[in-house]
Amino acid sequence: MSPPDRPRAKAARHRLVPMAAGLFVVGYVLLLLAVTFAGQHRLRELLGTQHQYTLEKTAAALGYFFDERRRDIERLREDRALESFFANQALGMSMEYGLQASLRNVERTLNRVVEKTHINGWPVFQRIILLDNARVPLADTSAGGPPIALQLSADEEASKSVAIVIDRGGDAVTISLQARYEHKGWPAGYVVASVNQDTAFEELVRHLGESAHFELSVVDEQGRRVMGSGRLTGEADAVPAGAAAAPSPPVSLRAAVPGTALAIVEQDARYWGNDYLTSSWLTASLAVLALLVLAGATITQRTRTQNLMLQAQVDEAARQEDQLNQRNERLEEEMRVRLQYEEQLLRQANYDQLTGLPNRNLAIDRLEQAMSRGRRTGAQVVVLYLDLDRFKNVNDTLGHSAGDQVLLQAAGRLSQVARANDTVARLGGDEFLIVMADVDPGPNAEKAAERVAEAALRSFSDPFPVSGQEFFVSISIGISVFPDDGDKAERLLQHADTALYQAKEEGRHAFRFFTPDMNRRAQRRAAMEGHLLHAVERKELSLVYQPIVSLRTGSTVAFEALLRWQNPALGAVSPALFIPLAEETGLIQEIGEWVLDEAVADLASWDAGPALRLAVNVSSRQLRNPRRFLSTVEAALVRHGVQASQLELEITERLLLEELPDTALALRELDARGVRLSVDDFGTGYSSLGYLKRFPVDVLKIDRSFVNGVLKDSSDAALVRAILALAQALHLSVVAEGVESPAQAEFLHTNGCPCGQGFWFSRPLRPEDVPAYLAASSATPKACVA
Amino acid sequence: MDLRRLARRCLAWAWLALLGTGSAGATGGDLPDVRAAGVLRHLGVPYANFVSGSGDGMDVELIRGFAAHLGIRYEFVETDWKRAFGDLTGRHARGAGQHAELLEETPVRGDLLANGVTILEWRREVADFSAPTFPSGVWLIARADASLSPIRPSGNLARDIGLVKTAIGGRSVLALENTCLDPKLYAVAETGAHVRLLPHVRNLNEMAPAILRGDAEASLLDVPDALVALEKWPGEIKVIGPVSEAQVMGVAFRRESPQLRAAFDRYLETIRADGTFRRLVEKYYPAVPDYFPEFFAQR
Repeated sequence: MSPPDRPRAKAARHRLVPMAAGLFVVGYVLLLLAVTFAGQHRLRELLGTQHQYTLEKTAAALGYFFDERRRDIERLREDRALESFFANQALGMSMEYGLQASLRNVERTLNRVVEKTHINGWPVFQRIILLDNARVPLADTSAGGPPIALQLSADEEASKSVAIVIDRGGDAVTISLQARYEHKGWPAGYVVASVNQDTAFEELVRHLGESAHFELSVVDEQGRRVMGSGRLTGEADAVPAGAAAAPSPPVSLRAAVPGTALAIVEQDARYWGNDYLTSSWLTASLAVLALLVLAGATITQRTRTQNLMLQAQVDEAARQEDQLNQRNERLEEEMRVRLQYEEQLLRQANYDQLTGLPNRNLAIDRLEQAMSRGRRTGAQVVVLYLDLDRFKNVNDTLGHSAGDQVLLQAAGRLSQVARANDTVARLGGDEFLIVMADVDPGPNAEKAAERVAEAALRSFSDPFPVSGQEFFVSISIGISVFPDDGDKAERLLQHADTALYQAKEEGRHAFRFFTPDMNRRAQRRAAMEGHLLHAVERKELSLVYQPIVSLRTGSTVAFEALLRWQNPALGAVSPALFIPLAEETGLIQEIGEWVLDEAVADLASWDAGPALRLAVNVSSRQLRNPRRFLSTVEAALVRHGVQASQLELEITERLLLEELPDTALALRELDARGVRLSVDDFGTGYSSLGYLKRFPVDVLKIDRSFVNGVLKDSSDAALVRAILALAQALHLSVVAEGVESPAQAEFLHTNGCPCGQGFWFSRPLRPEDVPAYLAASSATPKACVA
Repeated sequence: MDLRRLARRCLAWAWLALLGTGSAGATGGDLPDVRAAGVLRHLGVPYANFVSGSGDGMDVELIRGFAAHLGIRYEFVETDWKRAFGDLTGRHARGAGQHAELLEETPVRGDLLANGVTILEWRREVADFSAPTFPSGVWLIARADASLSPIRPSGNLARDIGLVKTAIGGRSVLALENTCLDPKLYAVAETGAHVRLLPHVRNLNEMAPAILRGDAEASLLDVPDALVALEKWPGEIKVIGPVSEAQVMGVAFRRESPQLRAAFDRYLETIRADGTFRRLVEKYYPAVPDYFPEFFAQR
């Protein structure tokens, strides 16, 4: 089934079900009604039968009642009192003498019968009369009452049976039992007993029981009413004699009273018992009710459906609300998070993550605010640019987490040092800034700055505990003052930085105030840096070679490559200036590579044989990336076809003392290849000589400062001798640097120094001049071994 | 019949009797003595419904009530017709025609005599009677199959008596001396009837059974007894007619107990007024008031 059909089919199915249910219900209701009808009909039938039965039962009861009354009369007839009376009468006794008593007895008997004959407390007989043959009342319980006509038929008289007689004479119909009285076989008189109709009717009613509310009549053979019931009350009403003549209403049910000529009839079958159950009205109303129920059910169903829909809508709304709420919550959460981030960002934007100090942005902002305030108020602003000395070393040796610890502590110390209103900021790395705002103008400003700077320096005199160890860290401070040193924040910072640089240059752990001079120097430096950047590509660099000569033979053993820089703008820049700059900036890498390649190329071009070595200065920076350095060296050697043994790398003692693992690794590698290593400026570093074990050193180059004083200073001479001895002991080659006089050469030679280098022997040569020099010098180069 | 006259005559004779007989043999006391004794002794001969002999009877209840009225104990003392008066007065007596014949002395056994005692002339000579307690009379009864037929009442008692006396000539008539059925009282013998005084017949209620047995053709019987007999043997006994004038019964007292008698008369008045007496009558002799309506008429 394709999707579009499904909903339709579904809908149809949905409609079908309630319809079927409805039909079923209707069918069921109709069935119920049919059953009800049938039931009613049957019920009516049964009721009719029951009715008839009840009627007959009642008639039987009445018959029995009359039977009993007959027996009462018969008993009465046999009463001794009557017998005695008639006996006495027969004997001829007179009333005056004895008969009266008998009669009294009879009367008493009759009265007794009247009084004592009861049914359920109701008197049965109203009146009993004893009459003589002449139908003259002898004894009468209601003497003086209306006469009751004797209506015995000849048969009845003859049979002496007790007849039930309906007397219609008089005001009301009376029912009486009449019988002949015989004394000793001879007719003596009559007994007449009138029945209490109420009692008789009570009998009727009693047997009707719950059906006592329908209309009954006791009628005689002609159908004339004898006793009747009032509607719904069951009380007998004495039927007026006159009414007997009126035509009786149609009879529905009839039951003959046994033993009598009477019958019980029911005139109106309408008011039968259970008429509610059997009435057609009931059925009709049931039908209507059923319709109502159906209607009600339909409405209920509809309402329910609506309810369900509403409920679904409500649920949906609730769900949506829920969703919205959830979204809201999420939004709020996001907003919170966002705000947090913003705050964080703001913080980050303005504050240093690690130390919590304001960062550069905020510092500058504060500085500018202080400056604008200063402009208004005339106050001065002091900027202190602080830098942790050799912080890189700490980071490199102990790791960054230790470095962070130091920074944190430094930040703390500086914060202590600064005044309340000052801003202590971390500019980044190991650089801090203190902005002293609202400083009183004049010489006091300088004094205030000095105070703070000195305090800062003092605060760093205590060691920093890091990872269980203690390290001493010093700071250098550069100070600039507003408005003297500039009216722009950047400018002030710059100048402070320049001053800082100066402080570092001048030995660190000090503070310097900015001077315009500094600026010039800084500018110069900056300019130089800029030029240096392009020095390689502009081919402004050149190498010159200073021969290293054997002091014994005087032959050139090796050439040390020295870097020269000729810049159009700056002129000839001293290596002492630009090489540290190159090392600082990292240009040394590029430059170093160029130097290596160039020098090796030159060596190759001289074609002076494998014995001539080339000594190239190498910066430890270059050794930071040993692999690269190695490949550079190898590439150069291979490219120019120079043997590794011809290459000698000079590294300053200080750099070796730094004991960096990279250095050792690279050097060992190089040594493995056959490249020689010489320690430059030997003697100038202050450390143990243990490194001589660690590094594969081949040559020691005595620093020129020692060589310079070898003749003048006995301690220098002693030192040189010691160095020579040491070298000898360790089987190391020695080269004395800065030999400028023959006396020096002599001394050195005397003391066993194998080689020397200096202006005495030759000033540095241009590469193109080397072959000529080589040709001029005699003898083959030898190694600088004593 | 005028009961008042009768009563006065009784009283007169009583006084005479008292004077005449003196107080010979009178050992009983009057009301104070009786009160002091705390007990009223009722002499009674079982007779009809007056004294049944088994503890009840109209006179038993009457005297019981009197004892209660006096506030003293009741005691029944049985006696018979022969000695009844002797037990009361202390001296036996019997009727001899209209007069009493005094006999030997005897101890007094009771304070009063009540059992449907007909107030007769001779009895008045020996004792004092209370106010009349019951009406009476004497009828002649016969067996139903006797040839004697009941008279046709003429409306006149004397004439009716005459009719009866005429009818019994030559018939055997049962009578009982010393009682109200004493034939001498009614000059029965003069009627030419054969009076039979059967020795085995001692009580009045044996009269009817006697004639039923055929001991005689007819019998004298007092009205109360006759009524009882009629009820007992309906159709076997018939009443022929009256033999006596109207009589009354009363309670006999000693001459020496006038207070007691007076007290009884007062008591009788009371119960006649409040209907107690009537109730007694209805209980024991319901038919009697019909025959003697004047007696029972409320005064």
